[in-house]
Amino acid sequence: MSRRDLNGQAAVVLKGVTRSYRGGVLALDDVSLQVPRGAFLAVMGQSGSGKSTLLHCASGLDVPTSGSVTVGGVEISGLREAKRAVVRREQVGFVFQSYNLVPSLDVQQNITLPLRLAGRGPDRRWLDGLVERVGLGGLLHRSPSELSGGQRQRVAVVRALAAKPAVVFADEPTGALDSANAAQILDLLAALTDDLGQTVVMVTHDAAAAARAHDTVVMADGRVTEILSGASADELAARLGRVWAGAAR
Amino acid sequence: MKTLFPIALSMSRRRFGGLIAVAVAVLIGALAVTATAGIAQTGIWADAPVGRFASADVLVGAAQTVEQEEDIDVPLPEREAVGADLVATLATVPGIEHALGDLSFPATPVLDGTPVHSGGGHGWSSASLPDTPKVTGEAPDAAGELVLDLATATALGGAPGDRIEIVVAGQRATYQVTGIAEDVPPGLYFADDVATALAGREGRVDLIALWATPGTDPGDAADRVRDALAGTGLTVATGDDRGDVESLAVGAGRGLLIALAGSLAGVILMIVGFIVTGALAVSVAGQRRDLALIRAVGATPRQVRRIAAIQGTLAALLVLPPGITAGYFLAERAREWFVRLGVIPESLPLVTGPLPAIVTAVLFLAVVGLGARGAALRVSRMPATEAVAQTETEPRSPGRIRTTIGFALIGLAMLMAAVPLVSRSMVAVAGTGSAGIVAVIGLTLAGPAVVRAAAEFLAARLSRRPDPAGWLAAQNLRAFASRGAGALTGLAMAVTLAITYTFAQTSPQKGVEQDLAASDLGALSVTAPGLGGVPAYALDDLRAVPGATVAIRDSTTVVLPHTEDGRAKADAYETVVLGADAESMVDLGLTAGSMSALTGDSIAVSGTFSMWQGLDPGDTTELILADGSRVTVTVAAVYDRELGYGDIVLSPDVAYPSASLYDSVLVGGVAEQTVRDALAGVPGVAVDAGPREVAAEVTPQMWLNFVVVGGLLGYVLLGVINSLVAATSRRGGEFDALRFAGATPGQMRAMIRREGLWYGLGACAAGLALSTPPLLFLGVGLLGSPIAAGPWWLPPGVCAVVLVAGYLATVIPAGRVLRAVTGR
Repeated sequence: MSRRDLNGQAAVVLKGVTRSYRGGVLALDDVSLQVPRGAFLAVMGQSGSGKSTLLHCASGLDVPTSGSVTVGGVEISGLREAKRAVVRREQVGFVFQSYNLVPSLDVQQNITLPLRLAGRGPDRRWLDGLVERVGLGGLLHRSPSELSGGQRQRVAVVRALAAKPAVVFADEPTGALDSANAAQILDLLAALTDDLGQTVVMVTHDAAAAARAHDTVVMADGRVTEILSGASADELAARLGRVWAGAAR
Repeated sequence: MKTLFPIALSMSRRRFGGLIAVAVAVLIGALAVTATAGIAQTGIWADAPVGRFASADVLVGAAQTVEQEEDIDVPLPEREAVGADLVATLATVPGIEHALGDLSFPATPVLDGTPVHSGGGHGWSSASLPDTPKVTGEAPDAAGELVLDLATATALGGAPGDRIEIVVAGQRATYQVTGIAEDVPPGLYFADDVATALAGREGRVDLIALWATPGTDPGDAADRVRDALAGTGLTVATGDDRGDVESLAVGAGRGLLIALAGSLAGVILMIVGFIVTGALAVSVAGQRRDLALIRAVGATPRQVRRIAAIQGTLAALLVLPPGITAGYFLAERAREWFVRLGVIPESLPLVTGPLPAIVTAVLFLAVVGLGARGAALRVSRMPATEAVAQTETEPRSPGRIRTTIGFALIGLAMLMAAVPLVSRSMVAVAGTGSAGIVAVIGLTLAGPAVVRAAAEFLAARLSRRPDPAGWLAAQNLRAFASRGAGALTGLAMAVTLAITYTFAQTSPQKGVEQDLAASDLGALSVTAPGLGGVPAYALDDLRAVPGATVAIRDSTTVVLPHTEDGRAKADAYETVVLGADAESMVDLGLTAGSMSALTGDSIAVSGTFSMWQGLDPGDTTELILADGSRVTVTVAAVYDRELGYGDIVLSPDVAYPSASLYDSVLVGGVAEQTVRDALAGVPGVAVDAGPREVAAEVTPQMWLNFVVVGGLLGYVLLGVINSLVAATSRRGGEFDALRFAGATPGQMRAMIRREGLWYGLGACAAGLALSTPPLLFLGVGLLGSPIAAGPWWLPPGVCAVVLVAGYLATVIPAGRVLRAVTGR
């Protein structure tokens, strides 16, 4: 999976990451993973497989119980929330199933929010290009509540990229969308990596969505069980079925 | 309804917090409304227990009221006499065994130069209730004789044959105790014709007590008495109604209770409505998702609203019984308090009928039912799917009509508050309190638009600042203007009402003090509380002092009858009694006429009264005096110290054709010691410099307003804190979004702190903005200075409370949500 390692430095590196919760639940069990720059990586697995915990730990939203996480060359696993938040806004973009737009801000304000929070001025050309690309040009002064689900998710994607982060984490980005809108968002994420060299890590349980990624990490019981490259949706579905069957056994 | 009930119940189980707030709002509201209604009910229906005439079956007395059409009759506070010949007439009515004509008049024994409290003077026949009492010694028979009851005799150490000194009929005299009566009400009993002379009631009695022949139904007897008295307009009372005929203080006290309850009802209802509907809105907002889901699975909008209504009603039903019960207790406490303040006589009991409970229950169930449906209106009408998915936002702009009405009300309020500028009177001040209420209602309507405009301004100003926290806070305030305005106007309401209500009491009070001080030309004031007033002979003693000017200064009530749209109406006026002889001692600030004309059947009137009634010096008008007698009086003068002296000043010649005791007597031109020396023969007398009227006195009405406004402020703060906490607690999603966009916990906390601060600051600004003009008008209008009089610490104090409440109610729950969001 070093296919797209453009400058030799990985966007995200996880080494021996374990995350356990109170009550002894082991959500991540000694996971090591390297996401090269420019990669479009899907993380698949059934509910409870640890894929969301992986995303939280890899993005710095959560801290691992043990192990190390490096994002954009910065070691974050030992940092407090305030420091991690600063690293996140420089290095990480987020896209969620529930969009997570700030309801009181309009589209443009939502998009530039990460820069404003970081105290940086917007890169006009970069943002205008992104807005143009996702087709939000006429909607910049709308409130999120006035947008459709697909439009909201496109705003979320632009917002995630506004600060030119090292990596964009997407958590079931198509989960709340109809198939046409879902396809549009997946096209967009793929194009970001192919055309703009961005790095995207997408958590999904949808094999069709995962098939749009370059590589797919399959998880079960808090471990990475398999890493597949360029697999088709059918292959992934079959593979996932086997994992599930194995887990059930 | 049947099918929705379990759903509503199980939903409310999961969203308990919001409904608890509704319950608390209803509980406290029901307490306040029940207590107010209880006081009003007592004012309308209370009967004093019968005292001396408890054994009488029927009491007959004058009506003691001035009739009004379509309004409560105006009570007359002094005894209106009844023809004495009726006693004999009624004694012959079939079924009546015994009739007595009672007289009561001030008579105070003096022991070693000190007045001794007694039951007052009566005719000897008043001791037969109905049987002639057992007397040790002889019954009184001639002038200079009296009989004492056992208790008074013991207090005086008097025995039959002793001579005691008493002050009666304005004179100090020595009487012989001819006997001691057992089992009679406390009092000094004179021979009937002596009593009539002492009371100044030739051919008349105060009231007539009747006893029915054993075996006769008192009701039947009363009916026959009524027939015998047909056309006289006299009151024939049996049962509980007898107390009203016996005690006049009850009638006046009742009127005051009605006035007190009425003056409070408006502000109480408004605030209770505001807080209860606010709590319902919070509760429904907390269940928005659940209600939307119910819509999504096929409930009609109507059913969704009904679920909200059922929940609110259940919460209300749970707390109405304790709230109402506590309200009755509060009403009783209030009654005891009024008794201590001297507003109503001890004997006036609380009426504990079910009406306040019913009124309160119906009112709250209606408010809760409608309020819950109103709160659920938006979510119930939303397309089902959208309701589930929708990001929580508000409609873009607050209704234009609503905003316009709001501003119109605020403008109206300012006009109402401006009345003191043109009329320096108590009536004008009434506008200030009402103005506070109207302004606050206006603010609740215009609030969202105002908050939105202010937030937009702030957002624009702060958008170029490097620190994004302020800008974010402003954007939140702008986007959720209605949510913010609810909290903000609630806090502003606390500020405005506290300030306008308090200063509307204290400023006129200061005006009264100023007027009284300015009118005082250095006279000495003589009082004799132990005797019930300064006796007439003291006046003669003073007039005998060379160089002394002496004048009566008293107070009474007069009633001005008039017609309004062809209906008979009457207004009672608290009136100062002052005559031409006070000219050199009291300066009323005359603008027309002269003080020297204030003799005989004449009055002086305030400028306001003169203007409204069209009365100028030389004009005449009809007045009803406190004892019901009608006089035609001539206006002698017009004055402008109306805060200190009210609307009417009555000449003593009208007020007391045959008085014997006066509230106070003014003496000028001689030294204080000279006055004391001259009054050596008057027991229990006091001589003071300056106007006797206790100027700094806080009236019961003021106290009540302070207490109620204080209580309501606490209630408002509770309600606002509840809605702020609930609204902030629902902001987890928003904090998530900010976090994912790169906000640090510090930035989010800074944003929240700004919001909390702005709520408080905005509320203080709005509250002060609404209360400053009324205060200014009060100051300029009443006191001739732009600064209204009152507790200077109140505005900063209430602002501090509001700031702290707004800040903490935002920052504390936000901190909790933030910790949950960031996983700490």
